[in-house]
Amino acid sequence: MTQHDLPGDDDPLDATLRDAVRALRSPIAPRPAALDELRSAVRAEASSGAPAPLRVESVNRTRWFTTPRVLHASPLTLLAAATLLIVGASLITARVTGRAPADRLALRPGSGLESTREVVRFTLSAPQARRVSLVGDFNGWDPAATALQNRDGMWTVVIPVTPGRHQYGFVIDGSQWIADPGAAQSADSDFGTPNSVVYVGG
Amino acid sequence: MASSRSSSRLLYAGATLCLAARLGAQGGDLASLRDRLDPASFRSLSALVDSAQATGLPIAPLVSKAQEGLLKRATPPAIIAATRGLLVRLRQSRDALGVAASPAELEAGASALRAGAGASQLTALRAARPGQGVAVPLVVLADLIARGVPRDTAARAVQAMAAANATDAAFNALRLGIERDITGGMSPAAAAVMRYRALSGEKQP
Repeated sequence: MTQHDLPGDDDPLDATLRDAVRALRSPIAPRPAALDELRSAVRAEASSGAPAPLRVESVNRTRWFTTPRVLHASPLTLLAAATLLIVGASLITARVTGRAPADRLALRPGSGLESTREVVRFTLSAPQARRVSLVGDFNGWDPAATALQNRDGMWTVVIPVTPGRHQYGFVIDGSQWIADPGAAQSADSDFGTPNSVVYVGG
Repeated sequence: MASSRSSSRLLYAGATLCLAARLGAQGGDLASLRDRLDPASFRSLSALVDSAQATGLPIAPLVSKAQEGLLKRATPPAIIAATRGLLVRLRQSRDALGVAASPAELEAGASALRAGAGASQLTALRAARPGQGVAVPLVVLADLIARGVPRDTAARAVQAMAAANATDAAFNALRLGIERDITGGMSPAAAAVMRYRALSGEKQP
């Protein structure tokens, strides 16, 4: 509103309005005590760190997690969540307990195998072989379970084996059984052909 | 309250599922032999495994023995006989070592018995190493006998080391040393005595 918008001087209502406008336009002299109170309040706010409303909010968030509450979920959802949790934990455990094969091997020269506590390298020299499998009590004597890799006639595989005494052998081309020529042989073979013996962890 | 009951049921169901999965995995090895054996032989094998399970003996060595026999194309009767023999030795091993023996100790004890050790020697070894595992000493005992070290010499050496609180590493050092000496031409008995003396400070076993 400007001066030109004000009503005329002859109208009594206009005179009242004019007085009110004048009063509003006149400068306000604040109380000295009020100014001091305002300054004190600002200083207190500045020294207290985060504003009050934010603090209240974070307390409320923490309380949300610590307060017992009822969650609604179907049994199927809970079962799926539990399964995911178990699978996740299994994967983490496997990753933690797993070993990098090559850098864990303690070499034992002069033997057909080299072993540490958990990882064993099995080798067999068989230049004529087309396929070599490792079989033993650690893989269910299954010729399809552990194939050796060929490099210039030297067949090799590195696998984790539980600590203890294990019996094993090789199967060449799917049919020929052969004990490890570089390892000790078991004297307690029940089926005629002797097994080789590996000690893991010793 | 209803929510708590519901959670308990879910937990129970989850635990049951886990147990079923575990049992299924254990029985899976045996089930895989069903198609590789004739029905009568499979029934005989299952009965042996059931017997072991019912008496708390490990079943994995029995299944493994049957798998080995199948791989080596042994006849079904030979497979059953070998598995039954192993079950008998596992029982003897537990009788000698006590009901608290671990599966590894039972299997090592059965192997030592198969190699020619006596049940009383297993018991003596157990007594010489109270509170500690005897799987490694038993494995070494079986290995020494298998290499030709006289049974009593091997047993005395291993028992004396156990009584002296030898570590598993020391037992393995004994085994490796004797293996090396035998490979070098020494007689098994002489190698055992010499190695034991070296490890125990000139004390004859």
